Amino acid sequence: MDPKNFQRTSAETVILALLEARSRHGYELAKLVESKSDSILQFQVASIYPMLYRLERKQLVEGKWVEKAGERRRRYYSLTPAGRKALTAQRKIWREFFGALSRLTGFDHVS
Amino acid sequence: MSPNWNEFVRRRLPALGIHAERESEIVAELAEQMRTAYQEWIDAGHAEPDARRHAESQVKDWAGLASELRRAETPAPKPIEQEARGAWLTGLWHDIRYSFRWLAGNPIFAGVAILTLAFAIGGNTAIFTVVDHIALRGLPYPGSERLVSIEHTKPDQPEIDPWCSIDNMLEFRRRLQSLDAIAAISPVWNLVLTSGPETERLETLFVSESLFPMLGVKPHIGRFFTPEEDDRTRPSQVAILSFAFWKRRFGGSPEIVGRTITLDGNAVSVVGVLPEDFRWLGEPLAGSATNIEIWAPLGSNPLARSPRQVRFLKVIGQRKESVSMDQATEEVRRVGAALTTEFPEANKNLAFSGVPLERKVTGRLLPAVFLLLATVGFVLLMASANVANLLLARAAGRRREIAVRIALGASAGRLMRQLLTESFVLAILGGVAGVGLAYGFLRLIIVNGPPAIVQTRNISLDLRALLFTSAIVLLTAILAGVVPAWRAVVAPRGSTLREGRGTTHGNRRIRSALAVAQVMLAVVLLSGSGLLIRSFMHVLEIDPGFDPHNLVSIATQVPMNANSPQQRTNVYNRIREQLLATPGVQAVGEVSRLPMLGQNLTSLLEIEGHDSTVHPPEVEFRAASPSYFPTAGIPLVSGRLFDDRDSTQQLVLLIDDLTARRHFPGENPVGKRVRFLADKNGPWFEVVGVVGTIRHFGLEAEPRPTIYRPAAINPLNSPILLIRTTGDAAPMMQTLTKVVRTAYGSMPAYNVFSMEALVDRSTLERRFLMWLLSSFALAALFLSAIGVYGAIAQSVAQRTQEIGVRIALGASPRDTMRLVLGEGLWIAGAGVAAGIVLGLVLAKLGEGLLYGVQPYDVTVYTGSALTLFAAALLACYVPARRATRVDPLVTLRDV
Repeated sequence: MDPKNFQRTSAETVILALLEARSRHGYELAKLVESKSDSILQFQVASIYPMLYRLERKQLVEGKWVEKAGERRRRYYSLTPAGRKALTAQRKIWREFFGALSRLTGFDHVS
Repeated sequence: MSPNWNEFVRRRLPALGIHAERESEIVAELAEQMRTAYQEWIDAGHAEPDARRHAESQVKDWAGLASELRRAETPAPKPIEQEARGAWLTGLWHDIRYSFRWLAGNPIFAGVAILTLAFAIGGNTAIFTVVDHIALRGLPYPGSERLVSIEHTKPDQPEIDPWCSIDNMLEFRRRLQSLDAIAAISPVWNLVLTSGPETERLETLFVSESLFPMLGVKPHIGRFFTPEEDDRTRPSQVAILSFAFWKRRFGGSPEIVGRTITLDGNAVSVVGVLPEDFRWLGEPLAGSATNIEIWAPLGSNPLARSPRQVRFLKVIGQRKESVSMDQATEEVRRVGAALTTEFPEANKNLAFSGVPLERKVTGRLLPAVFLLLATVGFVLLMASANVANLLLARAAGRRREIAVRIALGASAGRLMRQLLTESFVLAILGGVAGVGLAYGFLRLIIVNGPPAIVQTRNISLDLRALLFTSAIVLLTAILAGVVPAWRAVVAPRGSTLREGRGTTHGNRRIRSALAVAQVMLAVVLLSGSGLLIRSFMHVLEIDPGFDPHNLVSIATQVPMNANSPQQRTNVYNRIREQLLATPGVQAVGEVSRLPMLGQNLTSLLEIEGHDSTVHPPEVEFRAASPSYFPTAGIPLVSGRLFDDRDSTQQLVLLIDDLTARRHFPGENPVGKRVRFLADKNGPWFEVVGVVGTIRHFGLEAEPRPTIYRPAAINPLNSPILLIRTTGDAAPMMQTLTKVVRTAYGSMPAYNVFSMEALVDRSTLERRFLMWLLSSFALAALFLSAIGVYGAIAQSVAQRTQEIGVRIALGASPRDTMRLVLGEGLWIAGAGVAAGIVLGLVLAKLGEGLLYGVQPYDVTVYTGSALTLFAAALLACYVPARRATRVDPLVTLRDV
């Protein structure tokens, strides 16, 4: 895996994971990444939207314009069945990857 | 009041170049992001300008975002690594479909390229098929590579092709250890079939019983000869029929086996029929289209019991598998030398050698064969160069497409593959059309080619030809595709996207180089065909020694019951009278052998008063009637012709001019006496006259000394009648044949030729080769003109600005014309120079095919050089005109 690809797939995995519980809009996703990672990971708008669009093209997520009462029209993204499958696959890869990493380095990534 | 974020995003975000609806959706979503960020800060109590700044800072690099969005919105090309694992075929299929779409979208380009390739591939396939059948695949007998021809030569007279005596053949059979079997074959004999409704003369070969088993032939029906039937001490009257004769005369009836037919008055029992595709291709048939109808055992031949001095056989053997060809030929030489020592009288001046039969049969044709292969090879190279040129021109037009695809991540290898796929698809389409054309070419060649070469073998497109074509297609695709693909992918990297329209100097250089190469090859082919045309003209100027116009030959056979000389003379006189009574007949003569047919019968002479022991004069021997010479138009040089008073008592001879000059140097031969060495105690003949020399062996063969004896001394059994007509002979041939047939009961009439056609026939191979080469040379000229046009037209297109500047600075149309034509002439000059050098080298190699013209003939090379220059100028004219009409204002504005 080359580093650029690694970065991109890891970011995509994060997005897929955040959408697992429920659908969210782009701003919310960016905010969540920031808060959940204690600001270690930060998503620029410049990268979150192209990423969402790419995932949409791959039919892993689906975006829909939703108008909620008292709110402005927003685009909400949710996981497709293919996205769910991809997420499970990614999780497995990551688990194996980190498992191997910790066995090799002695680090324990689970805090 | 929140700012209008939609408006803000629209202003900042560069156009994405995607569907407008999708673009406004993206704008709306980004605006929503800004708005939310803004609102959050307002709600948190920040000042409005701060909130606005915060919102605006959500995107720092708008151009970067736009390109990210663009990439996300366009489907990226699949990365090559993924394809390499498994999806390679899918990708290839995609490339092929893409190529077809691209070709369908460019029908003119596709048509020109495919037709050019089809012509070249078709020509190559057709010529290869012919060459393969006549020279490459060996003789059509199993184990033919083990067949050895036992050759007799006279080292001091290499032009003579002596035959073998039956005793020598039997000695070879007894002594040679390295050969499994030995067979002898007689010259073509004419037997007359008298049983059945119609008398017919049949071409017959007497052969050893071992011949058919040696060649691996199986009878179609019946059997071959037994060794007992080939025993010359107890001749058997048996025969085998050819398939064609059996079908024609006996309707293919299987009842024929065991039946008796009458040949030359003998009751002959038919024992078998040969298979349909069997043909004997060796001597004495090699190089002729003669169809043998009857095969008889050698033991039954009238000459089978003649002494060792009588040489009338061709001999072949088959070496043992354990023995090499060199060992076999060496043994032949050794045994031959022993025979010369043991029988010095009979084998005087003879040398024996073994030659692989395949080389013997095809060797004569090899120079012409290689010439043709090289020619079509050149045409293929030129066609490939033209297609490469077209692809280069296309590639120049597609630089941007390719650059975009590289920018989008397509790897160079991936693009190379796609471009090569395009040239492969072109080559394959060209190949498919080419096979169709090859079929047509092949029909043309078989119908018009020399029958002795193309009709004696079953030439057809087969698997070998298709394999060859596939190889050619592959080669063409690579030749035509690699350079353009390489240039297209490597040249435009990086720079092209920024460039509006750069100049790709590399492409121009390559295209000019291709054009130079094409001109070179065209010069080679034009010069080659020029040399052949001049040779042919020289051959046509050769005087055959007689006047072939309005002259017909008819061979016939005096009936068996005409036994005495007087009876035979009566038969001949009767036919002659009837012919002379036919309206339109001017003169009739009789001779034993026909000019131009190349049948030889040599005799050794002793001249009274000359020492004939070392090199006795060797002459061709003919019998002729007094009227033969005036009828054929052979002039009397000195002395007198025969006349009707010459009888068996007066032993007279005529000699030809060549014999007089060669064997009577400085003396008058008239009145001298000669006799035949073979008949040492025989009578002396007086030379009464000298007649003109005629060419008996074809126009190109040097004439041989010839002597004539009066036909009256021993009237001919099978005279050849020469009939001179007052007008065109062709329409009369039917009538004349009928007169001969019915003049004296029922007589065969065969070898009915117009002598003009016979003279033409002797030039057939040369004419054919000349036509083939000239057609390919013309095609080459055309292809090279297209090549020069392509190079110059592209050069003008790329130099439009330069030309515009020159015109703006005061260059006249004349100067511009000169500029463009100069470039064309440079290409032509370089190509012509290289072509002349290469042409001279090749012409020297093919010198054997020339007649009366030097390989460095100045006229030919000047002619082809001028033709090429003219073609190049013509090809440059259109682009040059275009250049003079360049509008400097328009081109300068575009800079």
